[in-house]
Formats: sequence, C-alpha cells, structure tokens
Amino acid sequence: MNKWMYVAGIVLLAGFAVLTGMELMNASTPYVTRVADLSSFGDRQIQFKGTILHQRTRYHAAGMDLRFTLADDKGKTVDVSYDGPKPGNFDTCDCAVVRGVYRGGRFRAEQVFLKCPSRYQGKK
Amino acid sequence: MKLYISADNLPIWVALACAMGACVGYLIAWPMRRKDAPSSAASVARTLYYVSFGAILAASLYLMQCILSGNRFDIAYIYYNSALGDGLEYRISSFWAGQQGSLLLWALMIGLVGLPIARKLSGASPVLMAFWCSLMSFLLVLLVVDDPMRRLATTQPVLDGLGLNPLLKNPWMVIHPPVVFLGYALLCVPAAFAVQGLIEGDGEHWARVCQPWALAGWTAMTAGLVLGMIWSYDVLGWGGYWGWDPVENASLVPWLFGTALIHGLVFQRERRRNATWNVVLAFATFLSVLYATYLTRSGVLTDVSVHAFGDTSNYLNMPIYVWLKWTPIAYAVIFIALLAARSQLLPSSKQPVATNSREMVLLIGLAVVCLFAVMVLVGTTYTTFAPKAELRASFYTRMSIPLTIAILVLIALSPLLKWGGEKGHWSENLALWSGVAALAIVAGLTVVVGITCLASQEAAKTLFGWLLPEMPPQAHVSPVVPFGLFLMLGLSAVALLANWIPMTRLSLARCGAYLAHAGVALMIIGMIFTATGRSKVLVLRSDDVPQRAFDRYYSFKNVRAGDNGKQEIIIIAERNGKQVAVPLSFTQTRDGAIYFPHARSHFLSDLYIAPEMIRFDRLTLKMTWHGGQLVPRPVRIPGTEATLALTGMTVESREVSLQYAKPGAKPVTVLVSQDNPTEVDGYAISFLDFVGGRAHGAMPGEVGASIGITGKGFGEAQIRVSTKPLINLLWIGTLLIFTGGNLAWDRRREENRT
Repeated sequence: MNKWMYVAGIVLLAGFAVLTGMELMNASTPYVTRVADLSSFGDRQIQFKGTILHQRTRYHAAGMDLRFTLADDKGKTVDVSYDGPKPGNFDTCDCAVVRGVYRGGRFRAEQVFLKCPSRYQGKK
Repeated sequence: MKLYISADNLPIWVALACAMGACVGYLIAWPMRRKDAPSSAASVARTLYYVSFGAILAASLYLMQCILSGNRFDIAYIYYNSALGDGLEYRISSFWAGQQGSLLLWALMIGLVGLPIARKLSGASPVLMAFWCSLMSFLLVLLVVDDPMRRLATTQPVLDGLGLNPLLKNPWMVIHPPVVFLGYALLCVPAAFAVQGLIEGDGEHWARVCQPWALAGWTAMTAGLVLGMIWSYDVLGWGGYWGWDPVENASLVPWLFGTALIHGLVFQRERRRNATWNVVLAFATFLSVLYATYLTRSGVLTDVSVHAFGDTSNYLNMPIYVWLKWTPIAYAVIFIALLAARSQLLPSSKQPVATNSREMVLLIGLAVVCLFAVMVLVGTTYTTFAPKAELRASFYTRMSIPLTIAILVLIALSPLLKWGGEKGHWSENLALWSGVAALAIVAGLTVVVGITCLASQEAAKTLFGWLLPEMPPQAHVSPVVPFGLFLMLGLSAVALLANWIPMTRLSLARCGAYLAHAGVALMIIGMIFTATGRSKVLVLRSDDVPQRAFDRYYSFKNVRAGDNGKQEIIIIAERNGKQVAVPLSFTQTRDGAIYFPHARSHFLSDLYIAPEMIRFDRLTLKMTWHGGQLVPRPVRIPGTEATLALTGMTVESREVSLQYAKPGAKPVTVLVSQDNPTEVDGYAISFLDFVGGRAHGAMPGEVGASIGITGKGFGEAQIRVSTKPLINLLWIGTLLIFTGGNLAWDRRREENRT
C-alpha cells in the first residue's frame, strides 16, 4: 500500500472519530435530579427522576392526557404533562423517570418510565 | 454472600478445583510437548479437564432435576424463576432465566466446546488448553461465589415459586439463551488458538485450525441474535426488533468483531497475510465476550437497560463485581504483553495489496466492520458509564448509515474482484464492469435525486411518496431522507444481484459467503421498508362504534381466559365486510399488567397490533354538555337499557351529580366524587376527571366529566396498530446469513480434514 492510502485511512479515521463525538453529544440526554436545574437546559431533551405525588395525578382516559407532579429530593415539585396512556402500574409505583423538554414551567414528557419494586428482583 | 460447601453445590467446587488443576497441569505439560511420548502431566491435566466438565454437567443436571421435580422451591434460584403452574418447556427454560443459571449454562458450553480440543489436541498445544481452563475457572469462580443452589433464608416449607417472568414465556426465549452462550463459547476459541500461535511462534497454522471454530461461533451468534430479535418483535410490543439496548449491544459487539475475524481468516488462508491483525481480532472478539459478561452480569446495567437481569443490582458492592471487572482487564494486559513480545514471529508481507483486488475490498471491509463494532462499543460504554446522561438510539441509527453504505458497496464489489487483482476471463471482466456500472448508475442517480430534492420540495415529496408509499404524508421532507434511502436501496439491490448471480455457477459448498452477503443486502432492504411502516393509536370500548386505522375497522368484543395463565381480549378487525377475531393477551403481575402484541403476517406486510392499556369489567364514559348549555344528554350503559346523564358539576370539590334512569323505574340522582365510588343498581360509579377546556380529546365548546363504571363484560383497550411492510425480507435475509455461515463452516471444516 502506498503512503497516500495510509494518509486517506488516517483522515477517514479522524473523521469517524469526530463524527462519533458529535453524534454522541447530539444524542445524549442529560439526567437532571433537581427541579431548580430544569430551566438551564433550554429546549434540549432531558430526563428527570422524581417521586410521584399521587394525590395530584389527573388522567383523562379518553383523550390520553396524563398530568402528574414529581418532587425532587429537596421537596421541590414540577408539573408534568404527558400525551399518552397512563402506564398500567402507574398507581403502584413511587418513582418515575420522565424524558422530554422543560418549557414554560412545565415538563412535557415524551416518555414516562416507572421505577417500581419488582417481583422479579432478588430480595436477598 | 458467604462461601460455603454443601451437597448441593459440591459439583461446582469440584469443577473449579479440577479446572484450576487442569490449567496448572497443562502449563507443566507445555515445555515437554515436543517430546515424542505424551507427557504424564498432559494426560493428568486432560483427566482433570474431563472431571471438571463432568462436574459442571452433573451440577446442571442436578439443577434441572430440582427444577422439574417441583419440590425444591427452597432453592432461591428455583423459587424466583420457576413455578408449578408453568408449562414443561418454561420450567426447562427457567434453568437459564436468571443470573446464576445462565452462568452455569455458559460454563457448561465452555466445557463442552473445549471437550473435542482436549480429547484430540489436534493442532492444539497444552498452552491453548491452559488458556481455556483459565476461562472455565473464571466462570466457575462466579458460580462458587453466587451459586444457583443457595437456599432461601426461611425455615418454612416453600411449596411453590414465583414463576418465570411472563415476558420470557415465549418459545423463542426457550432456545435463545443456549444458542447465544454456545456462540459466546465458540467465539472464544480463536483467542485461545491465537495465544498458542503467539507463544509458539506459529503464525499460519493456528489461523487455519481455528477458522471453522470462528465460523461456527459466528453462525451460532447470528442465530442467537436473530432469535432475540424475533422474541423482541413477538413479545415486547414496541413494534421493533432491535432497540440498541446495552444488553443487545453487548452481544452485537462480539458478533461484529467475529465478522471481521472470519473475513480476516479468509484473507490469511488465501493470501498468507494479515496474521497480526487476525490475532488482534481474535483477542478483540474474546475480550468483547468478557465485556458483555461484565455488562450483563455485574449489575452496572440495572438502571440503564430494560432487560438487565433484575437480581444484579446488589452486586455492585461485592467481590464478584471486582472479579467481573478485573478479569477481562487482566486478559487484555496479557494479550497486549504477548503481542508486544511475540508479534514479530508472525508472518508479515511487504508486498503491497493490489488496489483492484478482492483482498483490498476485504481489508477495507474488515476496517469498516471494526469501526461499526467500535461505534457500538463506544455508545454502550457511554450509556453505561456516563454519569449524567443517557444516549438515545438515534446515535446508533445515524452512525450506522454511512457504515452500512460502505459495507453495501464492498459487498457488491467483492464477488466481482479476484484475489491478487488478477485479470480474469472476459466474461468475469464483463461481470466486474457491469457491477461497477450498476454502482456508478446508483451513485449518479443518487446525485441527480439529491440535487432535484434540494432544488424542489415538491420533487422531494413525490419521490418520498414513491419510495415509501406507507409513510404518512409530511409537511416538509428533508432532502437528505429520500437521497439516503435511494442510495441505500440502490446499493442493496446491486449487492444482492452481484452476490446472487455468481451462485448460479458454483457448487452449494462454495456459496457460503455469497449467500450470507446476499442475505445482508436483503436484510437491509427489509429494514429500510419496515422502518417506514405507519402506526395509529385507537381506544376501543365495548359500547363504542368501530374505530378505523388504515384499511380496517376495529372493535372490542370480549375478555376471556387464554393460555399459560394469561387473559385475552378479543378485537374484531373488519375489512370489506370480512371480520377477523384478533386475540390480544395480557397478564396481571404484582407490578401491573404486561401486554403482548399480536402480529398478523402477510407476505408483503405485517399488521402489528399491540395493546397499550386494557381494562375490563370497567368502562370510562364521557358525559358532556354541549355549547355551554346545561342540557343533560343521557348515555346508555353498554349492554343494558339503563342510562346515565350528567346533571351538575362542582369544580372545587371535584364532584358531579348524575341521574341514573332505567325503563319502568324512577330516575335516581346521585352525587359522585373522586375518592368514593357510589353504588347504583349494582354498578360502582366514580368520578375520574373533568372534560373540556384544553383537556385532550374534548370537542370545541364541550364540557363535562369522565366517569368510571364497573360491570361484568365491560372493557376498553388502547391499541397501537402498525404496518410493517416487507418485514419478511428482513427475516429471510437473516436466514440466508445463517445458512451462508453454516455452509462456510462446513466447507472450512472439510478443507481442514483433508
């Protein structure tokens, strides 16, 4: 192989490394644990984990509109809206992770993941 | 976790002691290997290896016997993964449903794969077996520390277990784990041969001997991955077959390095070069298998993967975590030291690789596949260890596109070129030039398409609609999408033809690579079309009119008992007056319900119906006033003559008043609040929420409330109806890849015999 092929190879590799780095940044969703930090991410997609305040949950089944409130470990709360079905085990879970965008004082979740005590977890 | 020895786990201790003893024995035997008489150390080591394997087999049979006997739920592993009510096949598969059992299965596979090598030691030296025994000991240490036979901490008799996780109650999941572990074990063999090659300074022979092993491992791994994909599609209900989940990726990386390795070994066999890279690839495959073990078994993925084993979160503070983490690192250090000290003994060639040769395409392909593996590795590692961020799947899909395009071009070119860049017969040259011309036409058309799409949004939309008739019309089409799709589809078609045509002239035994490459092209065509499927969410109620999604109307029929302790709702799908009953099963667990999708397969497209929420014996009724006028509009309770009407609402206290009316009886007015259901004529009625204003699903000017009402035979389901166009091409493609791998394995095995 002549040296131009090596040069081309190295350039391509460097390009690949740069592309990987850029895509990694673009596709990463930061975890936010404090309500106070939510507003600092602008329109970027973020994840927030909090405790569900069940008494403030409202669900409109026909329209699939779920609204609930999450609290961080400092007790600060954020209202979450989610256009989708209420997950089957929502009422029995304590914690939820929401993925979406924080805009206008409200977290607009695109996905809701629940953290429940699992039957299939070891109880050692 | 304290170490202990009991009658139950004695075989595992014996296996570990013998594996370690065999390792030492083989190391002692190695310096004596060149003497004519077989050394006694080697035969002792071999006997110890047999005993170790026998003990693992005994431990496995004993565990299986305990599971099937149905009276050993005092063993924690059996209690958590099995139950008397599970069918025989699921009681068998509960063996590998959890952490410890699957480790035992893997140790069994490692022992099994090493058996023919230990027996004949043909082409293998004691140093190889010493390496193999070290791997076996690594797994057995895990099993001694966290053994599958540990008892529950209770003195009460335990009569039944919790049962297999309902998601694993699927025929594909019965065979997926054994196939994957067989693949893992076989993919570790090349590294063992490479260690032998480096230590003994034999750069050629090891590669030849391990080629069938690598192909067998790669083929098994292909099958394992595809079985996992089918399971994901059949069971998980999100409608896809690959989620870029860390656990899936953990198996994809060894497969990708294995792919690079099998190509590198062909290169070495045909051209006697690439020896150093093959050693590196064998080590990379081995280390990625161990890394997969670390990721899936150490508990680091508990918070990031949907199907990390649930019982591993408590591992993070334990010696087992340290063992899982540092053993691969120790192996890596040994490999690097070996390469540094011995790689000059491997044959190398100063001869340049001809640009227009098959080996050049192979070499570039090898590099691209390695980049693919590195990309998946980087993403998975980032997901696992980045402290404050999660990686979306779009990282992998976007990064895959340029790599896949490169792979398709190389797959199209490789059958057209000859080893060493030789000039062939005119007919072969014609094939080459037709292939190059086809690629050039695809590239040229893609450029034209790209420029046209950039210039005119109308053209982009037309082409988009033409390429992807299934895709819903969009407000704006990015020119990159039709451009990229056109390129990928064109390249796949050329790659498919370029590999299919030569097979007509070859004997079946020599078709392996062509068939696998054609399969890759077909699979990619299937993936592109499947990604364009449409999807729509419907809410069906037992009282409601049928709802439309695409060309069918859907309605809710009833709930009934299904197989394996599941329940089913029956949905009626109607098209052109023809009705088909679609059963959708679900099961209630302590954590809530698990819903299973239903795929109706047609050759050109699957209709995929996935329940997202099912309620039965209960309905939600929307009761509204219209136009701000407080005129009650009675709503009939399904299946009865009775009606309910909204007569008043109190927003502050979240209460509504309802009038219940039945023919021949005096209407009753009741107050219904959110917290206390009110009993009327056998129905429990509760207030759910207000409707109207900005609430979802409310018509303009509509106000009212939604009411929950319980009663036998009521039901509602929210389902997602999706189309999966040409998904069968994807499955056929994977079948071709698997068959191609088998043919190649068989061919190299035969060649090594002669």
